[in-house]
Amino acid sequence: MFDLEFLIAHLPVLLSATGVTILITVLGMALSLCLGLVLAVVQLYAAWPIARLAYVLAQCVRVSPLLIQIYFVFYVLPFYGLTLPPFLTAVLIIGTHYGTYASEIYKAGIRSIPRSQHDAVVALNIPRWRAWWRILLPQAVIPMIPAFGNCAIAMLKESPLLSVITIPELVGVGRQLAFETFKYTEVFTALGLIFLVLSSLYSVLTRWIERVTRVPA
Amino acid sequence: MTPIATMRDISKTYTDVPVLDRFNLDIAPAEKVVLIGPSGSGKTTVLRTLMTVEMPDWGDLAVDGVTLHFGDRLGKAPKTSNAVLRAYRSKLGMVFQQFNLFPHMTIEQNLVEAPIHVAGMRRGEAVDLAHRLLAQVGLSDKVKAFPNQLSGGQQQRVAIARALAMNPKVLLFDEVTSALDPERVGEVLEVIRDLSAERSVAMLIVTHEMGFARQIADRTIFMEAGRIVEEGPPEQIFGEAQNPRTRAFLGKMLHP
Repeated sequence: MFDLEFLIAHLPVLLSATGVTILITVLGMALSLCLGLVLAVVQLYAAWPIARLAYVLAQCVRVSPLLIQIYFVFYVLPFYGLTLPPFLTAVLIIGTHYGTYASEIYKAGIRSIPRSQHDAVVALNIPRWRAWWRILLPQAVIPMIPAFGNCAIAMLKESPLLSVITIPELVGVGRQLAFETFKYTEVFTALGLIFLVLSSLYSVLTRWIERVTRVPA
Repeated sequence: MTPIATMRDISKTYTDVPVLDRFNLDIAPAEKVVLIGPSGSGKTTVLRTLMTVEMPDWGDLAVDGVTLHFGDRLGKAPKTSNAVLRAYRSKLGMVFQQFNLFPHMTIEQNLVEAPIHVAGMRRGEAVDLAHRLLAQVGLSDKVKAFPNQLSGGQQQRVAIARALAMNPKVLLFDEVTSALDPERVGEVLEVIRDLSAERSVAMLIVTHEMGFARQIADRTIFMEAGRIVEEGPPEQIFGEAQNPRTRAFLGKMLHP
C-alpha cells in the first residue's frame, strides 16, 4: 500500500522545498531578533510618543493573523506601487511578525536586569554602548534563549502559510505533488516526518546554544 | 589642605520624601571617613549621589578638581556634559552591598573590563594588574572562576579589587559586609584595613560594624534624617559623644 519507491523518487523535490523552509525560517529568525531588539529598546527608552507609537504598531502586527499580513503585503501594496519579490516578502513578513513577539521577550528580559548591574556599570564608568552590548544585554539575553527557540519553532510551523504567495516551501510543494499523483498518504506522512525532524533540530539547537552560553556553577 | 572630594548643599528627594537636605561633606586626601547612623538616615544616599549612580536634585559635587553643578532651588544647572561626568566618575570607585559583579564574566574579565575599555590600558597590562590585585585580596586561584562559584566574602574581595583597578582617588564602601554570612565578614574587613594602611586612597565607608568603624576611621560621622548630627575622631564619637541621639544610637549598636 505505502509506496516507498514513489517517495524515494520524489525525495529530492521535497528536500529542496525543505531547504526553502529552513532558509526562510533562519532569515526570518535573524530579522525578528534584530527587529525585536530595536522595537524593545524604542518602547522602553524612546521619548514617550515614539515609544507609544512603536508599542501600538507592534501590537497590531502581533495580534492580527499572519495570513492577512501576507495577503496584504503581496496583493494590496502593489496597488499602491510597492511590489516586492515573493521571497523577500516572505522573509520580511514572517520576520516582522515574529519580531513583535521577540520584542516582548526582549522587553521582559531587559526589565529583569537588576538595578545593581546598572549601578556597577556607572561606578566603573563604562561607556553606555559598551555597557549595553557587553554587560547588560548579554545577561538579559541568555535567559531569553528558550523563548527565542519557541519562536523559531512557531515560525517553522506557520511557514506553510507562505505557500499562498508562491513560495516553494515544504507544504506547498508537497500538496502540489500529492494532488498531481494522488499519493496523499505518502506525501503527507513524509511532510509530517520532515517537520518533526526540523522542529526537533531547532530545539536541539536551542538547547545547545543554552548550554554553551550558560555560566558554569 | 584642599579636600579631595566635596559635597555642597546636596539635596535628594525620592517621591516627595527628602532623603538629603543640603548635605555638606569634605573629604581630605587619604582620609578615611566612616558614616554611621540608623537605617533610613541617608548614609547610602550620600554614597550613591557622590558616585552619581543617582543624580542629586540640587547642589555641587567635586572630586579632585572636577566639579558637577546641579543648580539650586532657584534653578537647575545646565545638563552636565558626558565628558565631564565621565572625568568625574573616573576619580571614584564604589563597592556595593551585593557585590554587583558581572555574572556572565570570569573574575579576570570582571577586573580587566574597565581598565581596558575605560582607561585604555593594553590587555596584557590589564591582565597583569588584575592578577596583582587578586593576589592582594588573596584570590589568585580564582582568576578563571565565575562569580557564582565564589562565596559572598570572596565575591566582595573581587569587587574591591575591581574598584581598585581603576585607581580611584576616593573609594566608597556601601555596607559591604551586610550581605555576608557572619563568618565571612572578617576577611572583607581585613582587606579594607590592609588597603587603608598601604594606599593613599581616601575612603568613605558606610557600615554597621562599629568595631571596624572605630578602628579604621580618621573621622566618624553620625547621621540622622539626612543630616549630620555629630562628627569627630572615633575616640570622641565612640567614647564621649556629645549629642544624646548619637549616644542613644551607639548604645543600641554596642549593647543591643
